[in-house]
Amino acid sequence: MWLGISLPLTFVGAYMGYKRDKIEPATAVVGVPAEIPPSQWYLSPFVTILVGGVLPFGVVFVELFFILSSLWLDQFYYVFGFLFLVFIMLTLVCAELTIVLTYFQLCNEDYRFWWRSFLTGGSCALYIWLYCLYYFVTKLEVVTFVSGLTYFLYMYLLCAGLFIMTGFVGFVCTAHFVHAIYGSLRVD
Amino acid sequence: MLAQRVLPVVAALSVAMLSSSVHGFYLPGVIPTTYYPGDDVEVKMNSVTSVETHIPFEYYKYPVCEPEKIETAAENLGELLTGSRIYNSPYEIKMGQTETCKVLCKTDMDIGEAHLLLHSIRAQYSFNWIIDNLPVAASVNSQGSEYVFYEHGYFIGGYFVTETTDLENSKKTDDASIVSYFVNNHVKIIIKTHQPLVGDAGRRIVGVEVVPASIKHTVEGDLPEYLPAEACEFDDEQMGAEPMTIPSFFYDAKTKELSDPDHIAEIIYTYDVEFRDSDIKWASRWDVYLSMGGRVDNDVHWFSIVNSVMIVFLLSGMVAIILLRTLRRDVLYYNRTPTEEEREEEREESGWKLIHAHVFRPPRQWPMLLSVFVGSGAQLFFMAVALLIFSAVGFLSPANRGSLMIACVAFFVMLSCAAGYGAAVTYKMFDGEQWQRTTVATAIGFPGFAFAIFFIVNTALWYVRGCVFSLSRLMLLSAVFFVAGNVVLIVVRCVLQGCAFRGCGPVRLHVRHRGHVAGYLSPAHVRRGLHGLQA
Repeated sequence: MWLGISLPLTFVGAYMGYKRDKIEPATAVVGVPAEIPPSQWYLSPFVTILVGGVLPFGVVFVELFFILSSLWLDQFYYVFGFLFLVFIMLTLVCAELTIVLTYFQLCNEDYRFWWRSFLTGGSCALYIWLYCLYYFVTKLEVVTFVSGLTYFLYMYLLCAGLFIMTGFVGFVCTAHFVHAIYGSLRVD
Repeated sequence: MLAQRVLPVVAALSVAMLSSSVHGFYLPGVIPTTYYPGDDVEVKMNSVTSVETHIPFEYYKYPVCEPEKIETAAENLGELLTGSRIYNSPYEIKMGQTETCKVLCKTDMDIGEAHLLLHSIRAQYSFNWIIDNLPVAASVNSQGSEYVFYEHGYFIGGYFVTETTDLENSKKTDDASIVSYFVNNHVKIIIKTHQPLVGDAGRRIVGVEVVPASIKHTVEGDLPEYLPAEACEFDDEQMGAEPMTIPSFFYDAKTKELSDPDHIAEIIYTYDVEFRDSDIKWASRWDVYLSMGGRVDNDVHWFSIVNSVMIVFLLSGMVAIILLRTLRRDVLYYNRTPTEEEREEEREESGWKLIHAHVFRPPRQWPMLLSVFVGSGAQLFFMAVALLIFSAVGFLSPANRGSLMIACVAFFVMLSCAAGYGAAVTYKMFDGEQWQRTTVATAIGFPGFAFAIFFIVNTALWYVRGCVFSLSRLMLLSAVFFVAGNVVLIVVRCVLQGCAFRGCGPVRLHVRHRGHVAGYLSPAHVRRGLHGLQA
C-alpha cells in the first residue's frame, strides 16, 4: 500500500509543488548575514522553544489522559466531538504562540526564525512525552520488558507525529505572519 | 470570502454533531439484528488481553472448549492491525431459551497449557467475548458505591492468598503468599433484550453481561448434556461449593519448578443462559461501555474545553495587540514625510524592521530536513483533520471495530501527496537544489519511522509469544518491507542518476530557458559523434 499508493502520490505532490511558482520573499535578501545581537536569557532559543510547548500541552493533556486510557487500559474512547474541539484549540494555540514568540524574536533583531518556529510549535510533543512517562509510572502496572517496550515505542511514534504536526502548524503560521508584516513594509 | 465558504461547512458539521448527541443517531451502515425466538445467537471470541502486559494471546491457545472447526470471524484489516483475533466458539445460545448448567465440554489440560494459564492468571488476563457485535461485560463489585461498574471481558481466573496477606497495601502479590489458583470454568451469560415493536416477537440484544464462577464439577462416566442445577450454584464470591483449582502438581507455589509432565488435568466447562427484558433502546446500547461505567463524567471534558478557550482568548488578545501596534507604527513611519530628526530616530531605533534584508534568508542548517518535516507535518495535520471530522460525525465509532485504524491508514496514504507538495514548496522557498533527495526523504521519512516501530514491536511480541501468534503476518510484513526497500533503492538510484523524473522541477525550467535542443544536438548524440571523429 505504501509502495503502490503512498510513494507515487508523494512524487505527484512534489511535482506539483516544484512546478508552481516559487514563494518569493516579501523583502529581498541582500548583503551578508547580519550579526545577531545577544538576547536576554528569556529570549534565548532554548527558553522560547520550551515555553512554546507549555500552553499547547495544557490544552491537550486532559484529553490525552482519556486517549491513553483507551489505548492501554482497554477502555473506549468515544468523545470525538470533544477531541475535534480540542484539536482546533491546539492548532490555534500553537499558531498564536509561535507568532507571538517569533514577533519577540524579530524585535530582538534575530532573523533566524524558520527552524525556531518549527521547534516552538513542536515542543509540546516533548511535554506530551513526559506526560506519557508519568502515566506509565503512575497508572500502568506493566511488569514485563516487552510490554514496556511496546508502550514506549508507540508513544515515541505518537510524540514524533505530534511533533511534526504541531511544528508544521507553527511553521506555516509564522511564515504567513512574517510574510504579512514584511509585505506591508515599504522598503526604500 | 473565505468565511462565506467555510461557514456552511462548519454549520453542517455542528448540526451533524448535535444530532448525533441528541437523538442517539446511530452509525451509518450498521443495521440492528432482530432475533426471533429460537434464532442462533453467535458467540465470538476475541484475543485474550491484559491491561498489565498489553500482549494479546489467541483464545484457542488456552485449555478451552473448541468448536468443530475454528474459523476466523474477523471482519476487516483494522481489526488485525489493532491486534484483534476473532474466532467462532462452541457456545450455543438460542434466543429466548434459558439454559441452566449446560455442559460445554471437557478439556484435558497438559503442563504447557497449565503454565500458560497460570501465567495469564497472574497477569490478570481476561477473555473477551463478542455477542451480536457487543463486547461482553462483567460487572465489578465495588464496595460502598451504588453504581455498578462494567469491565470488558471477564478474568480467566484468580488465586487464593494466605489470610495474613495485606491486600490493601501491597499492590503486587508475591508468589509466596499464593495458596492456589482457580479457573473460571462456569459462566452465567445474561442477555438483555429489547422488544422494538409491541406485538412482534422479534427482539434486539441491547446488553450482554457475564458472571464468571469457578466450580469444580465431578462427573462419573460419560458427560451428560446438562448437570443438575445444584451443581452450578455459586455464592457472592463467585465460587461454587468447591472451586475449580488448578491441581498443585502443575506448579509448586514455593519454587515454581516444573513437576511431573505426564499429569493431565481435566476441566469441565459449563454455562447458564438467561434472558432479561430491558428498556434500553438498541441505539443506546453502547452507552454503558462508553461512559466508562459511570466513573468519569463529561464535565471533565467541558472543563478542559473551557480551559483551552481561555488560553485561546488570551493569546488571541496578545496577537491582536501586537498586530495593531505594528500597524500603527507603520502608519506613523510611512504615511507622512518624516523630518530629519525623525529619520535619525528611526535609524537608531531597534526593531523587527531593521532586519528586513535578512529575515527571509533560508536557514543555514538542514533546510532539507526542515522541508521534509514540514511536508510530513502537512500530511499528518490533514490526516488528523479528516479523521476527526469523520469520527465526530460518527462514522468511526468503537462499535465499528477497527474502522478507526483503517481510516487512519487510508487517510495517511492518500495524503502523501500533501507531504510531497508541502516539502517541495518549502524546499523551493529555501532555494534548495537537491529536490530529488528531498522528495525521496519525504516519501521514506515518517512512514519508514512508523514502520520501523511497528516492525520492532511485532518482532518483540512474536518473540514473547513463542513463534505461534503472528509469524505469518510478520513474514508478510518483512517481505513487503524488503521488497519495498529494494524498489525504493532502485528508484533512488534512478533519481540520482537522472534517468527518471527528469520532467519535474527546476531542471525542466532550466531546459526551457535554453530553448529546445534538437535531437541531433543532444549530449548523447554529440558524444557519439565525437567518438566517431576520434575513431
